[in-house]
Amino acid sequence: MRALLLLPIVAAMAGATVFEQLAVVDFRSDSLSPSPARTEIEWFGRVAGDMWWVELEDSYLLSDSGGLVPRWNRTGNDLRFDGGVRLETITVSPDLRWVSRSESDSLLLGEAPSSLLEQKGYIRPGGSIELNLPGEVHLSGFGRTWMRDLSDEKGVEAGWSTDSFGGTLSWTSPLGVILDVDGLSYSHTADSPELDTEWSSLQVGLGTRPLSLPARTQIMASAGYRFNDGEDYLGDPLSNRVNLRLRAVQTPRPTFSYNVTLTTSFDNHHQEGWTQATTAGGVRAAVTFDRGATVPSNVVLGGMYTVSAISTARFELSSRLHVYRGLSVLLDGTFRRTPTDVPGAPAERRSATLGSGLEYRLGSYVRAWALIEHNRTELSENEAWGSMRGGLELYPGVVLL
Amino acid sequence: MTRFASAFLLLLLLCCCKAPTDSTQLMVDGDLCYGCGRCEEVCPYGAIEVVDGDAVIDPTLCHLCYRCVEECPKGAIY
Repeated sequence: MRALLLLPIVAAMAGATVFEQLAVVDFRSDSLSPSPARTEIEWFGRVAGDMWWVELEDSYLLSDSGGLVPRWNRTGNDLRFDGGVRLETITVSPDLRWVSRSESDSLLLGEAPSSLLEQKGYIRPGGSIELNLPGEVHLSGFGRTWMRDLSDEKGVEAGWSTDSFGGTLSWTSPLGVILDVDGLSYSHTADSPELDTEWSSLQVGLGTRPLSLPARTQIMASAGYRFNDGEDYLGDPLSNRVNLRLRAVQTPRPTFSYNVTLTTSFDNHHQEGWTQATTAGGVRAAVTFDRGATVPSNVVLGGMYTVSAISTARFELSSRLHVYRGLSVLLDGTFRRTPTDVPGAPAERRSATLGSGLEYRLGSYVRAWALIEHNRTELSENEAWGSMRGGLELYPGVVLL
Repeated sequence: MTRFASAFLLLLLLCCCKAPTDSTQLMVDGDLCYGCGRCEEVCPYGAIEVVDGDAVIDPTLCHLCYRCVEECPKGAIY
């Protein structure tokens, strides 16, 4: 979750127990509908010692599905618990997720035409174990069970649950080549046998650590083959897939870097042979300046193009320009082409968003921001609307217990 | 630098060509996905869940409606 990404990593002092927390409020509204659209309130707390930790995260989402361009949001609560104990080279980590919907929403399950079921949430206990062995060998395994609260149109419980387990073996060779073997298995069972499905995959991959080249260039490459066992929603066997990835980063100056990423994959349809599956290319350039300021300023430009059974295109610009003592001006713009099922839109909808706003940061303790945006998209006729989004993050810092 | 320019040219070629494709499984770019959960919210088939910060798509439940592709704020699903 986002909170985990935002939270600064705390190095626990020897023998000490520390507590830290983060609260985030995030809202989005637009002129498409008088309803408030979307508000999310999150809280994250962590207590940690030298060899253990306990984390609790709660996210409450208040949203609606109105508007000219449907929003498809779901109102409800999402509670996550994560803990762990580290004993020398072994880490054991139980976790739990409890999703509850304040309004039940529809879920389509089974082969087409799908059964319409009302979902009220699920509880998902699980756990993982990690083992670090000498010689850069890393082993991990996990298991999870989803117990879903689902019922059909007559209110009869579907009794649908899912079990999943998997594991990873990773070895980094002295030459910098990384070998990964990943296994994954899912099993869905329900009172109605037509909802029962199973699939599993085994992926063998080779990758490199970032290799330094002349002219401050780094390159990373990876290749993998994934064996799939199972059937898709139409009852056809899942194809096996080869993935190839290449990424190069160049930093001509300390304040300027850009990268190129290329990804392609091919599917092995067993008796029917091979087909090209997906291809994607992306570029991204970032300029950072005024690095000595309270908040560094930056400008980021990026673009990405993908081809698979569909094609997508994306170009984005974002910038933060620091003005005075933690106050910055935000500018952003995104142009996209994606497939869509929005009524009145062509099969591939083009849309654009341009926005500007302000952000205030007080060290790592407070971040508040607000953006006003202009949106334009293709529907039966071109439509334009305004939107506003903003938020507040509070991080009180680390408390020694 | 020559290698880097070659990679850039290859990217341009890929952008210009539309090779025949037959993909029945969506791809999640793990470098772009930051686990915001929007795909999970909008999937009408319950086929996506964010696990350990990455979206995981269940290929047996996915009906290729592409709603997650449209909603992903980073364009990480295709």
